Amino acid sequence: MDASVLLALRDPAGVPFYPVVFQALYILTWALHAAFVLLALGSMGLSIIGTFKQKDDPIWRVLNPHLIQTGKISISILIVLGVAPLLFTQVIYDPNWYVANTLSGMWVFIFIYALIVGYIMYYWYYYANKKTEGGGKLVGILSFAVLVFAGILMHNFAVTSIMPNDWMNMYAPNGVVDNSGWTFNMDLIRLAFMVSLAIPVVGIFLQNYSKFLSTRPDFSEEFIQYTASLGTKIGVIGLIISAITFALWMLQINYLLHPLSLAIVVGVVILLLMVLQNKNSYITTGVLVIVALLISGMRELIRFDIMAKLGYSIYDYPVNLEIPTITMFLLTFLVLGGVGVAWLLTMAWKVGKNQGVFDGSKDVAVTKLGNYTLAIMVVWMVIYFGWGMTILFMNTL
Amino acid sequence: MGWATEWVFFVYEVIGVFVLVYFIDKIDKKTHLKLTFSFAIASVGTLALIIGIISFMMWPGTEAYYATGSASDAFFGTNTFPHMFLRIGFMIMLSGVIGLVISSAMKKENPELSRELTKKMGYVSLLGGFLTLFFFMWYMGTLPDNAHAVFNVTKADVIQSRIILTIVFSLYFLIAIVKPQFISTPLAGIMIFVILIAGIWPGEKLRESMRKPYVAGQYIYSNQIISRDVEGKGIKSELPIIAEKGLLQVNPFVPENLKVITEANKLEAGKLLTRMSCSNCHSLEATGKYRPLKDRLKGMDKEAIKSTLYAMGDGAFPYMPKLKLPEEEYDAIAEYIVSLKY
Repeated sequence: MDASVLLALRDPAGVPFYPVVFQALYILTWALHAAFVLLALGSMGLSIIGTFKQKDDPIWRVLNPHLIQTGKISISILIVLGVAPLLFTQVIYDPNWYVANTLSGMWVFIFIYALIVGYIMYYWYYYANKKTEGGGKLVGILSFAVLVFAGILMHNFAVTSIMPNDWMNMYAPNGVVDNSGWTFNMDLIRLAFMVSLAIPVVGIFLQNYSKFLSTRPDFSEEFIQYTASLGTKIGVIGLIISAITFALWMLQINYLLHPLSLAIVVGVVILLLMVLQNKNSYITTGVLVIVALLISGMRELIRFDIMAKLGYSIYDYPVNLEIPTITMFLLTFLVLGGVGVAWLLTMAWKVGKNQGVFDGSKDVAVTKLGNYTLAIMVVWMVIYFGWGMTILFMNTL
Repeated sequence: MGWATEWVFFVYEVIGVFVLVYFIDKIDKKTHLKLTFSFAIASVGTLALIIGIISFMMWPGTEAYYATGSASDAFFGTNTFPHMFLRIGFMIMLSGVIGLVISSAMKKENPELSRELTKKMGYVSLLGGFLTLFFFMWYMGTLPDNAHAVFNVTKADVIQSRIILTIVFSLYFLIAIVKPQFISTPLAGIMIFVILIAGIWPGEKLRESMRKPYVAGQYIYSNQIISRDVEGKGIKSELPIIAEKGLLQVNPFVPENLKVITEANKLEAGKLLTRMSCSNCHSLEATGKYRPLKDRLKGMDKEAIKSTLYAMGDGAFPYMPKLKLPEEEYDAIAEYIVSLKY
């Protein structure tokens, strides 16, 4: 595939702001999305093992419903966080995105249904397990399988989108056009690495879980100890597996000695030591976030290099500056999103730490953040209507 | 950037709905109520953003966008606000319709409260329904000509079904106000399905079809071909170059062996051309379900099909793309369609 074709596939309207900003937003939001994919996979997977222990073991009796709940919420969050990287990909890599979606069109439909069916089954699992201890094993395993399958499909779209040299051959093998939409490509090592990360993520989650609940008098010391050491075990084993699969992946594509790749290796080793010691898992989580951003950056580097070799650089994308809308987005994202989500999370944190009913009206932080959120939203609406009416008056009168 | 901004509200809503549901008896009422208000505003925020985008997809509303290329001119067209308030009215009505399920379910435990709430839901729904109808009429007046051309095909049916729906739901809401005890939970549940299937589904379908032949902004056809210049964005119409060189030469995804039509590859090239230009809207198979070509071209010979294509190229049908192709491509398409023996 030569550059002229790739350039012809770009949106002729250009991009509304400097492409590097979209690239950075892509890396950031993909890392956030991936974090919840991994937490969902990890907690779901562990909860299925837990269903076999839940009946007889008093610790798992408490832990397992929490794991199932974590998986349930994570799936929702991963879906909503997945929308953002998808948008930013469409802005700067639209040829890749639309070609992959056309070539694998059938899989795109199947993906959506798989996600719906898998998630509904997960709720079934959740209610079955709520009803009887250790219940819902079979439906839990099935929903896990369906959701993993959806993940594999998403992997297919990502892999197909970075194979521009093979597109024509996938679209018209031997000159015969294939409109079936059944194109399917996998990169097993890459997939294995990405999925393996679910293990350390759930390990570190368990360390956090234990630390968070350690201040609650209604959770026994034994429970806190057990969940922490389980987290350490899972985290250490998981990090070793991830490190090996990462090295193999980098070897396969010849990136092992790239500074970014080396930085990830160092990050994983630091994580391994921190998880092993489990001094303060919140700091470990901070390091995990950095490593996740580096991994997201690695993915982008691979794609960027593939495209650059073909003469397609996102930095050359024609820019049609759109100052008003980019300002609207950045302000909404940082101010409204920042304050609003901070409010929700502060509340969640405090409710979780508290036994019984939490009185938010007496809490300064919760009250202030809540008032700010509401005020910002009202101001946002006023600006929206003011802006819209001004434009309409100018264009129609 | 509209979609990205909408995403921020979307994130707030998804986290917010978990907090709302799970903390209902874990947090004080005042904070919970504040949360509920913020959730409501965020939901309207989502609506405010999506509506600008889908209104633009229908049409920018004024000529300003084509000259400036500015997203504000695209977003706030004449169609945007009537469309927005049509949906806000519908939203109010729907909250009443769903509220009736909840209020009727309380009948046994708390008959007094159930009565009061059912009555209130009746008023709320009636108000929402009125706003929906009022803004629907205004909305229709802000649509472009091609939308009316599509609408006219099914106008009688659409209006008839809307009148029936209005009568049925007005009666339902009046019963809720006058005889709240008559509203039972199963009835209220059924009414939700009625509104989903007879209200939302055909409404959205109508909006999507009325946009034809465009997919966005009245400059991109459903088959992704750009049909007019947008000076403000430096976008050029692709129609002149396609008319001159043909789709097979211009489209980057044409296999080498089909780029030039010969006697040997004519059918194959015709098949690809038909798929590229028609199949976005029409099923080509004889068993196809979506606006199948067979219903439109049944029994036509090659010349008749060709003259239909010529007419299309000259813009004879306002709801179809004005796609002019070189003679040999028309010929290949007609030959392929004839070979399907509709």
